[in-house]
Amino acid sequence: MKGLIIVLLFLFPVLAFSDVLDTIDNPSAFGMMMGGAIYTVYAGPQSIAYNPAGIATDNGGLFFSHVEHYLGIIRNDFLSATTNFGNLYFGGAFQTTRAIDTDYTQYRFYGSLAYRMDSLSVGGNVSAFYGTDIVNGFSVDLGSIFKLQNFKFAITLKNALANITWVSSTVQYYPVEIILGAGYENSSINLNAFGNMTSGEYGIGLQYFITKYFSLCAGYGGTFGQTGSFSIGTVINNYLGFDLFISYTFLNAMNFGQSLSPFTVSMSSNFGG
Amino acid sequence: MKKFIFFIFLAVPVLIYGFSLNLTANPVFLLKNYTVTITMTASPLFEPSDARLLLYDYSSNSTQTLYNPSVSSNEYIWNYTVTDYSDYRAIGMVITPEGTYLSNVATFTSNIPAASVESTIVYVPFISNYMPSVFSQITNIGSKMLTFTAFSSPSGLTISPDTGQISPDQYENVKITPSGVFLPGKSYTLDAIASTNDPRSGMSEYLLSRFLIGPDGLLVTPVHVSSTTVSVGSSVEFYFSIYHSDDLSISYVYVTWITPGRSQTFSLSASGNDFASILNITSAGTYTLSQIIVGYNYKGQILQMVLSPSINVNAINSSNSMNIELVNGTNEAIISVSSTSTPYVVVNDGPIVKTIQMVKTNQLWTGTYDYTNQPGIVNVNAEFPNAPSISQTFTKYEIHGMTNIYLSDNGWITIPSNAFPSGALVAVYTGTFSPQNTYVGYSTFNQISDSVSVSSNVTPAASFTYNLYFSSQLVNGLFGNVRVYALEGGKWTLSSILPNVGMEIATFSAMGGTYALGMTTQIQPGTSPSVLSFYANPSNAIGPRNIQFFLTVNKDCYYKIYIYDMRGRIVGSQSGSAIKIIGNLIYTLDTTSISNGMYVAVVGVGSSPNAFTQSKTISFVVSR
Repeated sequence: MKGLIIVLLFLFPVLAFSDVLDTIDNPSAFGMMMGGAIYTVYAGPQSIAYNPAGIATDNGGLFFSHVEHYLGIIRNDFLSATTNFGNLYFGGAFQTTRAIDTDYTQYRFYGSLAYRMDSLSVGGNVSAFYGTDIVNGFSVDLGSIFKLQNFKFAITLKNALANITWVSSTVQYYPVEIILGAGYENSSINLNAFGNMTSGEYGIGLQYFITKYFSLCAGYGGTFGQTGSFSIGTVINNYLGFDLFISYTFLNAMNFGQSLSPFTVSMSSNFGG
Repeated sequence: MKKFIFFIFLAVPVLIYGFSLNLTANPVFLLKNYTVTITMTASPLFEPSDARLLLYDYSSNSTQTLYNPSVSSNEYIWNYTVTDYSDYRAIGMVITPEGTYLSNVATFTSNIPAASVESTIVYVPFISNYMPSVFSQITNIGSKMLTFTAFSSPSGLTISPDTGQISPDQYENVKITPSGVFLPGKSYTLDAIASTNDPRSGMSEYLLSRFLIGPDGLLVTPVHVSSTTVSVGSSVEFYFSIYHSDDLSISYVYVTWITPGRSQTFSLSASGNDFASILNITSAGTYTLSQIIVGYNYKGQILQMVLSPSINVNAINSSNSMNIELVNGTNEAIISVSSTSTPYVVVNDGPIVKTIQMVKTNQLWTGTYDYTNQPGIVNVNAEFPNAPSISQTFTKYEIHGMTNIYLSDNGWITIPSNAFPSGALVAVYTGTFSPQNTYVGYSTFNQISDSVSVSSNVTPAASFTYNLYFSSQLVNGLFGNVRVYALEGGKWTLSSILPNVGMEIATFSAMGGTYALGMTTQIQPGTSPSVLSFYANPSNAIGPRNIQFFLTVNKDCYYKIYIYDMRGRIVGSQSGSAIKIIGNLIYTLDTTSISNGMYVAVVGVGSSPNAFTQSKTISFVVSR
């Protein structure tokens, strides 16, 4: 009972903290073109950044993504890999976020584990943070995906137990983020949505399969009460041995003549999954 | 035992009638390792066989005897170097065949507080709101507690700390800051002096620092606002003065208010040394007078002084309201207040402060005030028992020239009748001009896109040069948009006359005809503004503090700034207009409400409020 109370204290300290962890949490082109709504998708190594239960798929291997946010001022690289022994999946990831006009870089390392049953997968990440102004940091992600015929549901607890020790010796604690996802998938479409109950972020994305190897995507995501961003993209499967994701995001396009989050490319290799 | 013997010497002096020995020590107070001179004067002169000095050291509790003085006439001199922090007593002894003679007791000490100060002379040739501080160090090089009291002579320097105690071998850093009123054009010499308990001769007072200030300079006095808590619908007057030396000229004065959701920049013109304008409160929230920018020309250089007064005015929604109506052709202002409670109405008209008697009709209270014929701002303030006050103002302008037109903040124009041929539209606020020489009338001017007509049906003999003065409030900082329209064939068309538009003034020459002066918010095609610089200060905010964002553009324009976190969420935004000066302060981000990490600021600039043709992005870091 005491253990349960302790866990609850760590999982639900939302009221005690001011803001969620401020890191890039939508690093892949596929995630961007789906409005961030790939929490119910078995997306392979890139799922580490979203829902760790999503790595439990044969589409494992190596994944790399590069994003240039805000007219290229902020650059984010995400490299991840997964493999499996039967129904048990292992993964690891490395993420860097840096500014080109400021001497500032953040690093995040992930270790992931997932287990897949017939219609249910569960997974978890352990993350460590380092950076220019970060001495160290730690967080845990827990996720699950449940399929019921063509419908999919996901619950992700993101950044549980998250804390960062800054170089100023300040230790900041962050609330766990409760993310709910839902989706519908058939041979033609893959429709997904998510809502972050803690931060107010949301997104909806539609993937339309033209062929088995080629699909088009469109998504809209943002934060409740703010102007969101609209994205489009394409997925090319098994292109020269890679899965290729290309997206373009119009962030706040109503106000700015130039897009702040332009072209994003992600690549995935299915060599080991 | 030695001490006892020494005191026996002191207590039982051997005195011989008619003969005396006088012993003195100089200096009485000295530092360790310094030399004291002990002089014994014999009277009358006699031939001693032996002269010696008995010296008792209190700290070592020892007595030593010094022999072989240098002899000069009837003086016997011993030089003794003090090697310890101690008190000393000395007694001279002369042994002659007739007997032994003892002198009086002389004392000296090295056990004292002693100060050491490094003085600084600071030359501040240019008086401004930012005067340099200097630090001066007082060190106790003695062996006892040093106390000091610092003061400014004459007054005008703030010294911190101004009193204190310093232990031996310790020091105190004293900060000295000019804090008096220093008017440009004059020269000042101020000394910061420390008075100590150092007993050494002539060593009790030390010059910490000398400030030589002036005579050049530019000084902005503190800003006054007519009220800091008002109802929505009020207008708040703000004013300050600028003093400068003769070798300096003011180019421009801008005041930026951060209003709810946007910023507003005023360009102020001088009335003598005084600068004033009015902020209209249109919605509830906090209005912050964030920045004053003074551009000036000094020794051939175009320079800029930026001040951040950070004065807040809180605007609160209220069911009460006030309206001022200026009666055409008179000096009468009708003040109407809608309120369920009795308003207390006071008018400030220059030096005049007058309480207005209000007459109630239903919920409307009405009173009148005859304003003076002096230029300036008239402030009308209504206070209520249980509601925030309402403050409104109007401005009176004075005509200074033959061909000047003035547009007031309130949408009135003023023109002397002899400035134009008959038929011109003119307005109130005649100032020192007599009413019979002034065509009285007015044209309301509510939106910046409106045109104000100044027309003539009399053909002048030669072209006139017309000066149009306008308020930056009305044009929202969009200089360069003054147009001249001509009435030809019953249709208004853009004239071939090109106005020469500067800050708050447009000049154009015209022959006879009917013309209109217009101001539009639309910037001409092909002249899109561009961002020359955009930066955050500080770009790495360590600790809870504000980050300010500064924008420099190549022409007057609109802007919108967004602050994003790494997850694309907007943590702050603001829109407004920026003007062609260096470093418009366009946004202040309070970092206390956001978490640590990296953020980006994106600014868009454009010729209209909602279409931005250029963007620039910078990153910054919040770290607590």
